[in-house]
Amino acid sequence: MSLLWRTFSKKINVWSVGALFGSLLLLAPFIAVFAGILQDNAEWSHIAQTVLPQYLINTVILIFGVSLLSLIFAVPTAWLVANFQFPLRNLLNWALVLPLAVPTFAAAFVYYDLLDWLIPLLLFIREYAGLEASLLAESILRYGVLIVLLSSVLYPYVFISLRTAFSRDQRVYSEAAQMLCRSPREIFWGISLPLARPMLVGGLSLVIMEVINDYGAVNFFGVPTLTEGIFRTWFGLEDRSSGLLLAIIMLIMVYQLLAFEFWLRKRRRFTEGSQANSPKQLLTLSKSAGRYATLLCTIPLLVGFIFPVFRFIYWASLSATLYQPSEFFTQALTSSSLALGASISICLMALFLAYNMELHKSKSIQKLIRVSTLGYAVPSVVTGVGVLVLFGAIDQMDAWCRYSLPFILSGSLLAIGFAYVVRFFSVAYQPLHASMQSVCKSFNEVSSLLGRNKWDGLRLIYWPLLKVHLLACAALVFIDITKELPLTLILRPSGFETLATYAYGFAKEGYIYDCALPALLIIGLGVVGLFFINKWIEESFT
Amino acid sequence: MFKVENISKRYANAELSAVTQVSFEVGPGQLLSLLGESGSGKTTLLRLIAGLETPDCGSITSNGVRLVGQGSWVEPEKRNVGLVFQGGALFPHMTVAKNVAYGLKDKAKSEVEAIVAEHLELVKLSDKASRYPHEISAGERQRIALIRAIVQKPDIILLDEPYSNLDAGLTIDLRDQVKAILLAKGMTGILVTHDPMDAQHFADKIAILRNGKLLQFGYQKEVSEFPNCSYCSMLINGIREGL
Repeated sequence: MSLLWRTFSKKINVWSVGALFGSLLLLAPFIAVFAGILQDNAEWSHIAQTVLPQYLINTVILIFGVSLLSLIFAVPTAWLVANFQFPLRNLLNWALVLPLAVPTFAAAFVYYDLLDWLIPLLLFIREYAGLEASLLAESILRYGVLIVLLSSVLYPYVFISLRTAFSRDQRVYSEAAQMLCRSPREIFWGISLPLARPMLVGGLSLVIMEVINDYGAVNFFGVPTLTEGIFRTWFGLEDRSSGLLLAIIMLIMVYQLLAFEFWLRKRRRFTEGSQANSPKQLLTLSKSAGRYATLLCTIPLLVGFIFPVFRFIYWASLSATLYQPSEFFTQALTSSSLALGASISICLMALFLAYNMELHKSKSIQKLIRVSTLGYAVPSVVTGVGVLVLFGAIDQMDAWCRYSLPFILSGSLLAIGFAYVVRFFSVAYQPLHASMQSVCKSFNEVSSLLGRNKWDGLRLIYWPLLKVHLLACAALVFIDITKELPLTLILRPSGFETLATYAYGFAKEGYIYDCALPALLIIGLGVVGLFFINKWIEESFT
Repeated sequence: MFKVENISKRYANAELSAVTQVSFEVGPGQLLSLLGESGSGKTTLLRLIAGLETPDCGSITSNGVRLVGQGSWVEPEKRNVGLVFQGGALFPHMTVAKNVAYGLKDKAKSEVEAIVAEHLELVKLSDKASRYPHEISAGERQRIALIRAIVQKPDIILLDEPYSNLDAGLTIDLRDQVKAILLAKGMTGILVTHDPMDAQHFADKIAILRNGKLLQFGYQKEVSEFPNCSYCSMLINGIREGL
């Protein structure tokens, strides 16, 4: 018995208990969602027969359309900037990432307006082909514009992944193919693209998750997806149990996607260790080819960044200023403070759990930490619903035990902050853990063998080595939180606005010019953050 | 006396054991070479001794204190075991002097400075004290890693293929220096290597491992001159299988 206790107690310490508690905290909202299955849901069969097929079809159409167009935007641009020297290449190399700073709902404001320009075309179709044809054409245009705008701001996820794969991981193979007299086109189709497949699938998975997660743009364009369905069911119909079932369907879709990506990565090897890992020389394109390359790379940038930004600047100049500048800046400050506070908390938690991952040989703790990082794959609306259920249950604790909290958690800033932590934890954790493995290698073991405890290892080795990485992760999380819309709409306390909800509120009420300033501020913050992240990526490769 | 008794280790999802029922002992001030090819289990054995892995069974004792086995478990940081990693694993954000001083906690600053200076002098690198690891050569990095492990006066020092990243000339110089330092300090040491020359040059005793099993263990002269099987003979003479 004492032997069993000694073996057990050997594994119990402040680090393992902390890892267990932190992971369970991150998983709690999803456990709450699954617990919702047990509720009575009489309305579900009605929803399943009427609106669910439409939600599913719309979600699938958007996933396919946006994936395809994102690849068309990202693959040639990433290939060109990674391999060739051409006019404006250095500028475009960094600028092609900029559309990431534009929230999907802000792009929707800009492009929704374009549909008005197409009214003469629709009238023409109605006159010559009838009402049915005109309605069909309107649907096609609406879905088409939505797919274009979503692709134009989401393609950088694929671009960044592919640029890394094309420029670094494949040098030795490209050179070997070159020596075997292959043309750049043959190398691209035969070597580079197949080898970059895991990175491509990784980037594309992020795009798909963002599409599933989107609420603002699909709502604005009247294309109800599963996310919008949850909003309508939960808040419009007040049918919470059906809302939870929709959330579970979304979770299953995302899980299938992640499982597919994992399977693809696992099956084959795509690099051969360090020989593949050094930068390659850029080939200089001829003058005319260089001009085409510049033009090709400018198109996605124009659609995803330059056009929306100039439109917002123009609208801001026409703004009727429905709000007082002081009120606006107070809201901006509050929103930024919340985002900053959440970013810092997330990064510290990510550091703690990533360090735990390095410390523990226990597979069960490692698996638990890994599962708790799936929050980013889970759509915001599901996270929001999970937090609502969880905090609602805590608030009603006095119903089943004699204790109640002295304050209400639901609808508090704590709820929204906690939801941000759950949703964006993985954004900080994944790069931080990767950095830890590459930068710190076996330092934890070295530190232990030199007689230092685990806290010393974290304080004296990991912290100084990872400070810059933490800062970049914080910037990444900050950008995401500033852009976040559905989670904030679900959980914000009464009267609380972030820049995103502010902009969205104006646009929904038709005050399109007034949404420009907050939208520009979100984009501006995003650009500054991306600048630092880009610098960090470049430095970490040199 | 440092004793390893019937130690075994099998990694999760692995078909074969990394180490199977290995036993040996090293006396105070003795040097032992663990010789074997890649995958023979020598590094796993070293990590088991250091406490970086937990064995499935068996025990390890150091000067009569049970480090692991029969319900006992001493954390790596409390084992008083020094380990020199492949490539040194020096902390890149610390100067050479700070790296050496890292293990000297709970000591007065002046005392730490004196110990660091003394050991840097020992490896003739006093002038590199304020350099960072990337500003010194590979051989110098290994020497710093060695004294970083030595300064805390460990009961035993473990060297995990310390010459594997160095060229031939540097290896010969460094192995002479390492052995001289360990002998001068009267330290017990275990060297893990795949190179029979390194093994024979370093050790009083040699243990030959294959597929996680101990094939031969004895004094260097005995193992070199009277290998007990054809594999040991080939390995000790530098002839690899299949060649």
